[in-house]
Amino acid sequence: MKTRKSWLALALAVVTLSLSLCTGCLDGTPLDRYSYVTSIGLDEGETYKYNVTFQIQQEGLSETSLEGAGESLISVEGDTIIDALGIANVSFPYQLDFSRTNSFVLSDKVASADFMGDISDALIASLHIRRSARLVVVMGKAREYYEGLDLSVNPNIAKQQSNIIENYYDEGMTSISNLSLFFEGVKNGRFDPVVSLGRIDTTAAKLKQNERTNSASEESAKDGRESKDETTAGIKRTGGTATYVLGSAVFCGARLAGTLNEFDTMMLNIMRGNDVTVRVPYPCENGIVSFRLTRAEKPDVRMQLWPQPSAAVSIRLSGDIELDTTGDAAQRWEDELKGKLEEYLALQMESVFLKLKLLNSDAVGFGRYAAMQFLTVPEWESYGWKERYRELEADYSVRVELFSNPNT
Amino acid sequence: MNLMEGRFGKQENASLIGIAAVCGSIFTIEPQHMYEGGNSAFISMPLSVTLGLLLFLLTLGAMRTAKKDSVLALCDYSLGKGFGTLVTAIFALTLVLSAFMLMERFVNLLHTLIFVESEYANVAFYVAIVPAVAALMGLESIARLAKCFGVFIAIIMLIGFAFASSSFEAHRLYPLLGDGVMKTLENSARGAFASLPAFIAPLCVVGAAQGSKSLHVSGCAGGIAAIVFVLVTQLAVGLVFTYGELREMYAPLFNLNTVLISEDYYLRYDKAMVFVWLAAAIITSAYYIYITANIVTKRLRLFDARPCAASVSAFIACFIIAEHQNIYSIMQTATEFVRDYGALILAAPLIIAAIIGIIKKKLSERRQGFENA
Repeated sequence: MKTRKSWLALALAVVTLSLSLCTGCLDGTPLDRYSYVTSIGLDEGETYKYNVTFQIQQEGLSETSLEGAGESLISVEGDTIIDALGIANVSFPYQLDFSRTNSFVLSDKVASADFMGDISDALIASLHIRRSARLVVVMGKAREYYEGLDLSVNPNIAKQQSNIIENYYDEGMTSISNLSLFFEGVKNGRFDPVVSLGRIDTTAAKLKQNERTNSASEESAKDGRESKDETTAGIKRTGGTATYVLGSAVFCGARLAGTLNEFDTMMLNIMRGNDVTVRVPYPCENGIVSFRLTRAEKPDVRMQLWPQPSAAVSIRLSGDIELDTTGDAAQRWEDELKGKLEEYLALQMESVFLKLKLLNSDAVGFGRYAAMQFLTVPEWESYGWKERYRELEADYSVRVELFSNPNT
Repeated sequence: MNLMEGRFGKQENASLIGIAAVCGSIFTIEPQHMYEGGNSAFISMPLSVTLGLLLFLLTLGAMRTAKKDSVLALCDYSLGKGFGTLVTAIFALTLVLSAFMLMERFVNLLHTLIFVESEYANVAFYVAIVPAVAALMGLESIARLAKCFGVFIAIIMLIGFAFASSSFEAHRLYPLLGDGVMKTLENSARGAFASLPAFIAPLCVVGAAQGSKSLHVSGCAGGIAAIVFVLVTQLAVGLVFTYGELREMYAPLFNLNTVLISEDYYLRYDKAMVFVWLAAAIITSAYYIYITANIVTKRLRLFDARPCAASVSAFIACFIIAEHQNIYSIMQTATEFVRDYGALILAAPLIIAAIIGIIKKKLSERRQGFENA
């Protein structure tokens, strides 16, 4: 009797355990039912408010090869993303799925307008888009930004995403923001969002898409008279993808307020206390000394909010000399270069702060420190940080230490 | 009477109380209400659990003084049979509601975040059947399950917080007092409902927990662990999201890693984490379902607790589905009511019963002393 019972228990255990392997069978969905949208681009529409571009991942022809794999684009006009999605869905054999969406690309015109109502928290939740999806603002059209990636080469998509992060940490020449941080900045008003700035270098590569660019720009490229907008930050290059990310787009609330170049972006990253490494070239009389600097600790910000908001910011950096064409930078470090570099960096930071103040953008995030001086929410909200930010005076002091004393 | 109580030790009981208190305090709170005027939940929620622990100690002390072996007997002794039955009925109903709130939250979570394409009823069935089975197995099984999973759940959750720690920023916690001291205290008092059932439930089954002394030790251990864990969780959530975002979020813990700039694929464990939390919710729901069945069986002098456990489970499952389909909204109304007044409804009669019980016992001892003299 006992043996039969134990056999019964064993059989029950086996059946129960094997059921755990069948969880996918409940309301099972075939794998090829979906097509995955990896990125959503927003341009101004001609007939409707937006021209929404869906970058869609294409699987390879077989499980083992990448042949046929890549990305395709569908652009649809609509007053909202949902409107456009409806049309995209009926024009595509698969159902569009957004669980792999990792970026939003906004054209500068869309970012300058009031688009927040159309990329709301509710929309993100209903489409199951991860809030970690990154934001990019493009000087130009989002559709052209995708085309510049050469979508027929699949790895470019993933590589470019990781390259933005590498560039951010290793060079600090761009800013990074995702939906979560963007919503936080816009809703709470403690800082204004700073987003990666995408650009298109029309001279970089002979892409199929670029063949239809106007002849005037091609002519000017041949003559070597490219404007800064057509090249990579004013530098002519050959090869690589036409699309690149450099500098940052600065917001005032939910609207694009302006842009910062790569050097100002490096300064901004240091001012915000971001954990990045930057290269700072310091011009001397007899050459250039280039420093590779990283933050030694978070900035020490002492804020006074009454009667007028003011901030004393001290920043500690540490690093090394990376390039020295003068030949004697190490010898001159303690007596001369250290002080000059610290003064130079403080001046550059103050200049970036003034630029941001003119744009009415608290991209540095002084509001974060201001909020910490209040005990209750009503007190903080009645202070009206955004209005008071215009009166803010900031004083920067920088200290730089080299990892190893160059004299030793 | 087949109550299926069994016997278990201090570790099992501490795990059971800890899991139930943490689960209630994290997953049954309403974000819109809790973070409405700011985030002071990292103060108010640990305080709520502390209030629950204090009530537990007071009631247990009264039970020991009055020499009563369960809170049901204490209520009968202090308030009389009629009021005692009423109080225990209210207690059983709040346990059902607590189990319903937890299970409904998890069915919604699974349906909106993971099994998006599945029928709601199927997901509800998937979630509801496990606590029902555990409750049918009896209290000892649930307690041993709690011991097995307790440390595991805690470690997994702490690992999750460690991954998210690079996005912690202190300014998000500010202003520290949210909407002010009074509002924080009010939230603490109201929020106590989330953890009170976890502390009152073991008082119904003192015998299974090896007596009041053992229960005292395990209750304190589980309670203190819950206070610490709720504090850590609320701090982690508060360091990642400001109150402006929290009041609009259905599941802040689920979004904990999305703030990270370089979100690697190994950090995308949030869907897996839902199942770890689900394990905690299942144990808590099973516990509450079983205790409800235990109370009903004792009160109605039935022979077996299992039919009642089965019917309570079915009742909860049916209402989860019915509420989703907007057939009924009675549970939703009741849930909103107990979120506001549940702590008062639960705590007030117990405090009164405990105080009367102590006074009554002291008076009777004094009277007996006089009579003997």
